[in-house]
Amino acid sequence: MTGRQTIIPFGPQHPVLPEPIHLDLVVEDEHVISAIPSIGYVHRGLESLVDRREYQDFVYLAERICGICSFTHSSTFCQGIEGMMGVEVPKRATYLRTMWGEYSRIHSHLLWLGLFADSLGFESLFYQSWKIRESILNELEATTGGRVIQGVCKVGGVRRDVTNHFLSEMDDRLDGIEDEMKSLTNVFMNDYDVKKRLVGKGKLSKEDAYALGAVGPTARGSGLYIDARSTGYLAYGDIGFKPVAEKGGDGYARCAVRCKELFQSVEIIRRVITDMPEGPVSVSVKGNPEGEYFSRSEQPRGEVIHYIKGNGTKYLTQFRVRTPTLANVPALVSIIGGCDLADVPQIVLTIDPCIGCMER
Amino acid sequence: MNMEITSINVADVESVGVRMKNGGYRLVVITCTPADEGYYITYSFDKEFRLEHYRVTVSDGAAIPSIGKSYGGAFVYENEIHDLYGFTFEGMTLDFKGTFIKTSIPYPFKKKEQPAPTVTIVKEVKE
Amino acid sequence: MKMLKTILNQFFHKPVTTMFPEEPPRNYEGTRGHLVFDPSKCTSCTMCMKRCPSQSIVVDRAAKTWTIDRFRCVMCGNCIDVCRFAALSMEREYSKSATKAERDVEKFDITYVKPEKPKKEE
Repeated sequence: MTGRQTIIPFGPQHPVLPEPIHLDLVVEDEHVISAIPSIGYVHRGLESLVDRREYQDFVYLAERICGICSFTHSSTFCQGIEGMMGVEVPKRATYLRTMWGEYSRIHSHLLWLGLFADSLGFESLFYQSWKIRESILNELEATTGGRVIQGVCKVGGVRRDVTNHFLSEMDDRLDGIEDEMKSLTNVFMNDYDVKKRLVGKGKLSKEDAYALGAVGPTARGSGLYIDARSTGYLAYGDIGFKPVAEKGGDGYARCAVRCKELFQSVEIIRRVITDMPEGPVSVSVKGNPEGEYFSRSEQPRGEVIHYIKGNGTKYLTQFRVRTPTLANVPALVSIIGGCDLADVPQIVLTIDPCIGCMER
Repeated sequence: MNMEITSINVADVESVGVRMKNGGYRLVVITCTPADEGYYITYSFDKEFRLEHYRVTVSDGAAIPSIGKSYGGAFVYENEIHDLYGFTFEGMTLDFKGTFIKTSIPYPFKKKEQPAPTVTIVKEVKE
Repeated sequence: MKMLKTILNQFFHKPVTTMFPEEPPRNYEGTRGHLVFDPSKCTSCTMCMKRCPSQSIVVDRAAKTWTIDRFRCVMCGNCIDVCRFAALSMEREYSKSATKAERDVEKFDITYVKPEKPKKEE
């Protein structure tokens, strides 16, 4: 050890990162001492458009904050406005929103598994994960009309209905998808090469995770049972929900949490399809929102908070989003200290950075 | 969703942070919103899915003590509020000195004298 | 042995992707492809212009034209929900890529004729 420190930029352009984030790594002889993050490459200022579009049309802007987690943004926004105005959404609409939210979670986790395999160099596993993701996107397109941006939530319910006949066909297709996912997750959990790159790298202890405010699979991989779905919003209160967590705190545990959540989501979708109530799918909303509200829900990456404020006109006054990636950045800074330089891309990917949402 | 908000003074911020940390609460978000006079900064904490909010009223350019000693992860929210609204937090764990979010106008979300037009017309329309 | 089965499978399996220019692309009935306007039903109420989130529709009441900028339209379908006279609808094919020189704003002349109200009997 010579004791001299160099600073290496882990730049906004990197083959491993889906979106740009910059880290300055302070390195001493191939060990990383600390990292300083630097963000702001995709800041679009979406929150300042809120006083120029009516609150009902703002749903279309809210769902375009991020491409991967777009459905949960629009559903959380609608939940916030409905809570503020005291609107009661029909039960069938909440079950449909739960179903689409869980499909959104499956497709996001499969996307992450593919990107992670690509970062290790395992490209054929990348293509297999995204092949399964295509069948999920087909389901989303057949029911909502769009593959990536669904555009199906509105204040007061949902815009489209799904026939019961279609729902039972979807149930049969889910069996085939589940078998393919089993053989895929078998590779991630048990393959020798993948395990060598994951086990013991990027450790985050349970106390650190709670004190730094980590959320989502990053926190659940360290043994914390934190999940916003336990509060029982939408249909989770009727179905009953228990979070999945792993002890271990390293990259392998976080990967295992995401693999197990895939199967948990398939179970939730099956329960929702069998218990789907009849009835209308939307109510008409009159009046304007007034007051303030904190709306919380569980995105694929963690817990998201929307803060909405209105003053009685049809334009809202403030809209603020706190995304899970922003809450995981302090945990990332603490994980990277002490690892080797060659492991940095994998460790950055294990927290699942979604920088487009982070800096709307 | 629990929406009760308790008002506190600027000087009590650190003691609230210590009390919440000892009580086992987790910091969720720090929000800043313009009010009729000055701004409100709201601290939200969560324990077993119940939210608690504490609110401070500040005027333009005020200095607020940071809760970085109790919650190491608070620097993310405090730097963002500093870059967008112009408040200083004293004693942050990681201080970016204004370079966290680089914008072409300094402090873009401050209250402006002339509010922005409510409906933007992007193209010229011949009426 | 499992590897041999995978290799043989790969030789005789049909490709998973669609061979695009020969086969038409797959989409479903409810897919939001592109917007279609019917000039004979529009009464120039300008609700679609007010509620478009990307401001791609411009309605000129005096000159009786309805213009849409295809590059700004995001196919959200808000205008279809808002129009009371069923002048707008959505087709399932995606629009083909183009440059701005090939296909800019499209203008339609509104040909709606207000039906005459029957005279009230005095």
